[in-house]
Amino acid sequence: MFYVLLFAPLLGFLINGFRFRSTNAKLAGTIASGAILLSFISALFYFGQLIKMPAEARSLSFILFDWIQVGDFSAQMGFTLDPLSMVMTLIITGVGFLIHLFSVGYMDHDERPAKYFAYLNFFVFNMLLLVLGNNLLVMFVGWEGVGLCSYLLIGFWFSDPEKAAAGMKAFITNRIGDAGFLLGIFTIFLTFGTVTFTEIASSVPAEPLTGWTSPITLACLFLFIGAMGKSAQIPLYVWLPDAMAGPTPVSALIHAATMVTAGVYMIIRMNVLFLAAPNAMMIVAIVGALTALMAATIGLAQNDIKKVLAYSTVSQLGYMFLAVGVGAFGAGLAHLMTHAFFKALMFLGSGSVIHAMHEEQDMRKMGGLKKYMPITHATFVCGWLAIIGFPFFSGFFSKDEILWMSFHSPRGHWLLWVVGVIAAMFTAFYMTRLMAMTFWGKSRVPESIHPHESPVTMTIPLIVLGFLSVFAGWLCVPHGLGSVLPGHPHNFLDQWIHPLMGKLEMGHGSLGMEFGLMGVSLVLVFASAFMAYRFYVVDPSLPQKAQARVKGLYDLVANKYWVDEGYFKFIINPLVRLSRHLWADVDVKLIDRATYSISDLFKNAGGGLRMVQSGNMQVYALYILIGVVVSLFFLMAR
Amino acid sequence: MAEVVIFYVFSAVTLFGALGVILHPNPIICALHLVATMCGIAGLFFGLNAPFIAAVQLMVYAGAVMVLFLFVVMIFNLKQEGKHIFSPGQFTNGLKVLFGGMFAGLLLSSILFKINNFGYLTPDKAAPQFEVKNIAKVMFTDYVFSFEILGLLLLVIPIGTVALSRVRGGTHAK
Amino acid sequence: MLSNLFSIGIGHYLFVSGALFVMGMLGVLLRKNILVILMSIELMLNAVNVAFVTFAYYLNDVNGAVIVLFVIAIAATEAAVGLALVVLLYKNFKEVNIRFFEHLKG
Repeated sequence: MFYVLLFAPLLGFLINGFRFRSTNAKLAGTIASGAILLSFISALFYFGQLIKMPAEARSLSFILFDWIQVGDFSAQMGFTLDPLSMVMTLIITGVGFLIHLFSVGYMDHDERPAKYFAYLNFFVFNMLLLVLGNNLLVMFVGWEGVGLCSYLLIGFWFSDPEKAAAGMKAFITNRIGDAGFLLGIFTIFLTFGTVTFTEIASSVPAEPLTGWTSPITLACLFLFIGAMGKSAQIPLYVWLPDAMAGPTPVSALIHAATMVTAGVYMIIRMNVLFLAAPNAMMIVAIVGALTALMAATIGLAQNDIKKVLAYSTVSQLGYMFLAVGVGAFGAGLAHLMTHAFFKALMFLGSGSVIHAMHEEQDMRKMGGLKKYMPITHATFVCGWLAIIGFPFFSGFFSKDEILWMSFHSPRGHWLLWVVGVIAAMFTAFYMTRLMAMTFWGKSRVPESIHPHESPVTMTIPLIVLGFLSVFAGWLCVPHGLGSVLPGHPHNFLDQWIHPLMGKLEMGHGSLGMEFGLMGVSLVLVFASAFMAYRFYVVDPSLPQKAQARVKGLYDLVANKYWVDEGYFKFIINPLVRLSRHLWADVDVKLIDRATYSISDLFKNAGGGLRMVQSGNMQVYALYILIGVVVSLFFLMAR
Repeated sequence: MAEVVIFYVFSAVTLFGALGVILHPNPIICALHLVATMCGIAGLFFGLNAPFIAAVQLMVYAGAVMVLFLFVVMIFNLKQEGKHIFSPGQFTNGLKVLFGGMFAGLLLSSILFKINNFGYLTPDKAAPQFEVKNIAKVMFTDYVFSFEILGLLLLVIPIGTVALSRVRGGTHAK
Repeated sequence: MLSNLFSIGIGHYLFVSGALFVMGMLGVLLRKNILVILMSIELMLNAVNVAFVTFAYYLNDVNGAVIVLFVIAIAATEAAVGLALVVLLYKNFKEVNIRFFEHLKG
């Protein structure tokens, strides 16, 4: 049964991979979706089994085979189903199934649907490897595998050079992170002598180690570099916005719901280690908060609907890192889950819009789509309310928990809270702006396009995800909030993964303080959302005026802080120039010449020795004689 | 005294015949010189108290192998080669003579200078060690496997030789 | 020195054997007629036979004599095969000069 869970997507990949020339999107999609559905059902089965177990013993392990046995080092191809990987598995297979279903409609007119679905299934398989692996090496295999699939799918329409370049950018940026991740694995192996999660967790010292150069801190920082690459944090976030070149369901599955959260998952998985390295956690929290703020500000000025969502994803990932950085692993996982739902929903919604608009992504050419696409609009509203943190929608609970924890946790700081709230304010603004420009207000749709509602295979996933976006938050109601709500709902998610978490004393914050801060953030969010509504619906001329007034600032944000240009100017171009010099001066003039002269030496020597092989048998006999005489000399002289 | 005479006479015949083989321009004469050499060697064997081996030597070499050689030479009707009986190539020939001379010097001088050191080797002239009976006893006990292999070789060689030199269609072809 | 000349010992026979061997060797190295080269090979084989019998005689060991018989048998077969090859070569090329057959050139 477990192997069904793990290998069904691989089987789907193989089937679709072998019939990759097929153009039958329905058949390919059915195979792929069926594989994921099978996987999802198995996951549900195991979820039922885990629930039946006592809380402390919830762990099923499956050893496929001994993978590496070298000296002291041993690694198994082993998998663990514990509460944490269970949650991830359910998200991956569940959301993955919905997105596969959506893809059937979305990729209907594509030329290579079988290839697309094969990649998608392979991605799910690798993602399952990543979350189910019981040691860092299996995780790394999955980590690389999802990177590969991400590359393949971003560049799926590779005939467009820009899209192919986006794929390469994602791949290369991820390489930088992966190098860090590998260094982290090496450091952990050197320190603990093992790469298995449970053994690492049990051998971490109980007392946190201060200082920057302790091996645990270094290992955590290296792992975080890996997370930066995969989860698009400053400074390696640049690939994610470009990754929107891929098909929209891919953006929903890989670049919003699952793969980009791998870094968060990894840190939650290694929480015991990170708790022992407060400095590393501080870095994680600061980077997370800054990413949340920076990406949110960039999102304010984007006009491409998918770019806005991409920066929103970067920003929300920043929130997750803020959460895990202050030790609120449960909150981080909660936000991971709710974000997976509402961001997948919004990406699929944007896919539906783009599909309806005939591949038009510029929001300036949309507007007023509400009446053409009622279902898409309704579900999008759910996602919108969830992400801006409207009370009792899913995002509200998780985001509020993160903000409160960043203030209250012993590893937190009030500045982190301030940054988080400002980012939440910007989030409300740009998401409202997106809604306004796309669905509300006057239509700016060109005459030639007639938007229409999407087919039923595309709307069903939207409805299911909309439902989840609204209600999933009740699984993770913050403790303080739960104590006043009717029925006193628990934080189920936090309790569920609690056995896996390291010890961090949270203390009891004052309830008044918690509600005060929540009130402040809510007021700011509402004000910001209202302002956006006024700007983009009530009086569409206002944005122009506002832009003119803060032109410098607007340009800075609209051009994404010139980060890409900076990377080109200060890193990539110097590297290219250096490589060019290395090629022309060192490689051609030095190394090639050396190797050529060596090969010439042998060639000439061979040409000289060729004379010896005259073909004259008597001369050969002479050689024997010479050998005999020389040997005799030696024998007699001895 | 008889052995001294036998040794010198047959040594002279042997070495003279050998010189004739390698120096005479006409292959037929060479072959005849080789016959003389074989006879000389048979005589040396006789002097070494091995009459049976001497007899085998005469029968196999002088009787069989040399006839074979002479037949081949005569079938092809090889003419005298003229002045150039040696391979061309002054440099390589010089090297051949040089190294051949060095080899001969090393070999023969080592024998000559140690010639007195072998005085303790006194053969038992009365011992019948080279009688046919003794040779046969050793050959069919210790060397029986080699003997069988040799028999196989002697079977294979004629077949191979015939296969090599046969003419398609028999002797009456063309 | 003169007394050595008249008391025949192992050295005398070995000297003849060695001289015979060197002559055969020079014949192989220098002559250009394949037939003569084959004859020279026979010379070398016989030189070895002489050495064998000499040692067998002076060491009172019958093994040397047995090996000589083997050598004679094998030399006879070798001569047969060699001559067959020469016949073949002559039939195909009308040539017995060894320098004519230089196909092993590197």
